Amino acid sequence: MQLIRPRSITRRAPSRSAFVALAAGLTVFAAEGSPRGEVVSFDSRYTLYREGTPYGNMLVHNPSVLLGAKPTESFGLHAGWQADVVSGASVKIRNETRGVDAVTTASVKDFRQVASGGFSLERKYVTFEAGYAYGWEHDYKSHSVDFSAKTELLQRSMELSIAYARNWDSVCDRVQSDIDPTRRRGLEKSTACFTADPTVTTRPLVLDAFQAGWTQLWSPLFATQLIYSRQVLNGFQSNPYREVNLGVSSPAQEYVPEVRDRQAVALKANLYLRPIKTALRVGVRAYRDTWDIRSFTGEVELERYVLVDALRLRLRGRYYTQGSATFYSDDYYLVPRGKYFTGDRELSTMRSWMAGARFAFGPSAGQQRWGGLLSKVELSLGGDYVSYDYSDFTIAGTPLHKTAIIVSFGASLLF
Amino acid sequence: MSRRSTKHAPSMALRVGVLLALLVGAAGCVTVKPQQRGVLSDPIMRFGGNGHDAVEQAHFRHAIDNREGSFGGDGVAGGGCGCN
Repeated sequence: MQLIRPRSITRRAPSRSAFVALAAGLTVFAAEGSPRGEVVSFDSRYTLYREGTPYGNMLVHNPSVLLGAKPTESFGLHAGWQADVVSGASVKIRNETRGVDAVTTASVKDFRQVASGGFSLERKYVTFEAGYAYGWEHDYKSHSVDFSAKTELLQRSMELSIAYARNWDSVCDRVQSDIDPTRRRGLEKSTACFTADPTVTTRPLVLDAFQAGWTQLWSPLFATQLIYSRQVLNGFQSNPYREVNLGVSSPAQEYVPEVRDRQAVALKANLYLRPIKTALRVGVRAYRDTWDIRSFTGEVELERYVLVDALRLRLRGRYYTQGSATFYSDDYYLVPRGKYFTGDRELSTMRSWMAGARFAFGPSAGQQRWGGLLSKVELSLGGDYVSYDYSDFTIAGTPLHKTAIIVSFGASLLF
Repeated sequence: MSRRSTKHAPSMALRVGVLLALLVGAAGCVTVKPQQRGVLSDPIMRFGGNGHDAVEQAHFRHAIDNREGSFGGDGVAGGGCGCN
């Protein structure tokens, strides 16, 4: 566990010549595409996540806007903003010891924002994209860059893609007076974070993510996609506020390993059922990490046009199951798990199922743009119901069960 | 388990590699011509959907992934967050 104040990330300003070379390269690349009328897209979306009692409730409002422009066929730009407005109650002290439950919750209010931007370059069979995002909230800051490339082969029947992203995150934490993890205390509040206040410090977290994908068209009605994902997290990954009662002293701040290596393989298949004019989409995902969490996800979606050509109805279902982290325990006094301890229910044995529906309406103006400007509008409204079961996260011996709803509304304009 | 089977059992990575090679080889024999892709190019048949659907999918993943212990299968981009 790192207790010293981390070295600040050295930020060297790129040289002017590097900017000139990059700008020249982009200009040449973009100029090679055939110019056409400017295409601008605007997407806005609002999603509400509401998780009910028992054991704390949570309400998250998630608005976002995304603006895209393609000055030429081969060059595109985009910029976006999104936020999470969080309110509710979260676990302060995980206190399940000796059969006596006294989970303590604390009210949570946070406002997280992410600003992002990027560009894309397209050639005949190759697309390259790069982006940057900056996220900030009271107790957390994040800088991230991402790159992706894809190419089409075999007369565009096969697509291969790779992507990489790196995050440099900073987590606010309390300055600990004791090096012993079992005597560390949780952060009380975030008001002093990222200030000169000597009672708080900043801990680094670096994330590296890689993904490779293979999309294949097998017939005019059937396609598959195989994806391999890997993510390595290195740094402070505990919830700085959460404390766990170990039964031997005062509750201690959650303490988890600094490195987590996560891998997942996902296989998706899309089949068009011509007799009922419906697309069937099936996906499975297997996941494992070095904290020994293993999970399986299965998803099924049915989507078809209803009533009019531009109106789509989608029904979907999802099942998720995972095993617990190797150091997770429901009661660290009776069942200790080595030197690490956590009160995070997302590291416990859990399963969830979800069902939902969505309507999407997307009429096109055709050759004559509406008002001479607008070529397409898309609106969608959907809702999902989620049920969570935590078999070894108990409250006074009773496994926790929670439900949540997700409602999402979006509007897109294409000029 | 016999000693012989232990000694010669191919590793999981090798088996996955051979399976992938066979699949990619089989894919090389398949070509869906552009004029046959009317259905596949429809938004309801695209992986990740069009721009509008992709944004919706990103919101959904953001809501769900923060409540589970796993990740993967849907891109790598995005700012990190406390999300606790």
